[in-house]
Amino acid sequence: MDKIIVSDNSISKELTINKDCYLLINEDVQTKEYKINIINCKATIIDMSKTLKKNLYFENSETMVIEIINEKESSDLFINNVNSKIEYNIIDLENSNLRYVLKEEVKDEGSTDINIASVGYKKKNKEYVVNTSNLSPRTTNNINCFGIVKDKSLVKYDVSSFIKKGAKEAIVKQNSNILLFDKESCGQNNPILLIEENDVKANHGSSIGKIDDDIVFYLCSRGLSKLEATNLICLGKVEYLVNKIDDESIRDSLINKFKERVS
Amino acid sequence: MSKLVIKDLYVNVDDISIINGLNLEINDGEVHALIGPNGHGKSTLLFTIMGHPRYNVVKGSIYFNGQDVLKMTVDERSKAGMFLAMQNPLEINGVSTIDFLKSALNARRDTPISLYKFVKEFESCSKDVGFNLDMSTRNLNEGFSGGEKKRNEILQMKLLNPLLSLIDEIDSGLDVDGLEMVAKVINSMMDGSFSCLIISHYSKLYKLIKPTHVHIIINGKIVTSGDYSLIEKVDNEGYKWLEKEFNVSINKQENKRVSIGTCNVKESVNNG
Ligand SMILES: Nc1ncnc2c1ncn2[C@@H]1O[C@H](COP(=O)(O)OP(=O)(O)OP(=O)(O)O)[C@@H](O)[C@H]1O
Ligand SMILES: [Mg+2]
Repeated sequence: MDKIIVSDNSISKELTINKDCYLLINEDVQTKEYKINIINCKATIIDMSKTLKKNLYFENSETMVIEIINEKESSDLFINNVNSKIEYNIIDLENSNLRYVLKEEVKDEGSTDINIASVGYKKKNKEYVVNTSNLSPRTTNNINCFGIVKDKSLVKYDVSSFIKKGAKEAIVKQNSNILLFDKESCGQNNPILLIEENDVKANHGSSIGKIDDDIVFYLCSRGLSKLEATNLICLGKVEYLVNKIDDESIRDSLINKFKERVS
Repeated sequence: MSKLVIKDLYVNVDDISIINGLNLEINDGEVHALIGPNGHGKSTLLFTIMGHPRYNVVKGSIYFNGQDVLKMTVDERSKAGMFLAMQNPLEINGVSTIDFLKSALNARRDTPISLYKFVKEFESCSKDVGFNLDMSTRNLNEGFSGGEKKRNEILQMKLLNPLLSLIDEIDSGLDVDGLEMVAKVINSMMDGSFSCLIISHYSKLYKLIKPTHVHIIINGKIVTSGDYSLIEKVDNEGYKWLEKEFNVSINKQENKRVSIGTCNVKESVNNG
């Protein structure tokens, strides 16, 4: 498998990938906008760049993307999935306000998984707007959002999913869970399903609340402090995204960053 | 020499009184059996000793080795040598069994345990309690069978090596071999400095462990204590005889709870 590391701004225009590869977009990449086409291949993309606007086109491919939010206040992403299997993961541990708009369209028999884990701390607002569209039969969208909020912060997930008339047997699953660490913090889940077709499966589940007393008690009864217990619980939620990254040093630095954030 | 002393304890849950003036003393080397009908406060007592925030101590005291337990946080109680094996161990999403056990061991050490030593200890304890090593990377208790959860509780007890174990219906869900394993583990721990308070509805476990003291709790109060023969009596006759002898009513539970009709809104999220 080819390994491509982008560490300058050469990605700025358009990049087309048509053979299996591992693409690492480094954190020093500061370009405003990029477009990547992934066609007839398998790819893994780790994006740590400060890019504000991204346009991804997938056709007959299988791709996992891990985007690590890095020093930016806004992000705009468009995913165009044509008969592909895509997993798009967003890990957001940044100490800044953020408004992230993600639009996705899936056609032919494509399926898209979107996983977002966001930590809001030190009075920051994290706002995610996710719009997905199932445009043809047997397409799938699976959206999983997880948030941790503390220090008078806000994490908000507006997830709206559209299923077009004729998109028979389309599947949409939305799930948002937000954990609040203190009374001053706020979580919001606004799920919307817009469905024009009868023959579909669509559901959403959401929860907002503090960590279950019983769970904290169980861990504490084994000697973990309340803080260690809540960290372990939250870490678990973020770790499953972080563990998708092959590179151990990136993984470790993220886990350390996370531990700093929640403690 | 470890010692638990509970004096005149009153405990409320959601403003309903569950424990009503309970006294208990457990010394090093003793095995206490706590028996009593369903819903009379056995688990409540153990949760209270361990410090679950929902159980509100309104009166009385609990001391462990001279320390005021009620002033201690849950983890401090654990580090002081207390352990609770729960009747219904919780499933914890996102926390792997092995990571959790390592954190729990490290929490009571000044320097983190070496990976080699931990793995060795973990493997030997797992073997002793019949805990399948393949399960160690799975989330804590998630999808474990009833018996596997109980074995996991005993595994934790063995690893953490407490001075006082509070063991709540460990035998429910365990198979026959599991029961014998539990008895073996507890009996072997008795060799060191150890004492325990064991709740069970069945005499089978008690036959294997042979409690030194037996207490019967009715309506949140120990109405009588004795030796092993008390278990045999209850095994043969049930609890009815206590009503006459001690002038208590076993079914007055219903009258006690006046405030039904409250809707239990679960504000907290379990695990997503
Ligand atoms: N968290 C709680 N919320 C509401 N009621 C509770 C709670 N915990 C205990 N209770 C009530 O307190 C009473 C005593 O419960 P407890 O679990 O201590 O009984 P137990 O003696 O352990 O019974 P069992 O033999 O069935 O396990 C019961 O009526 C129970 O419903
Ligand atoms: Mg009980």
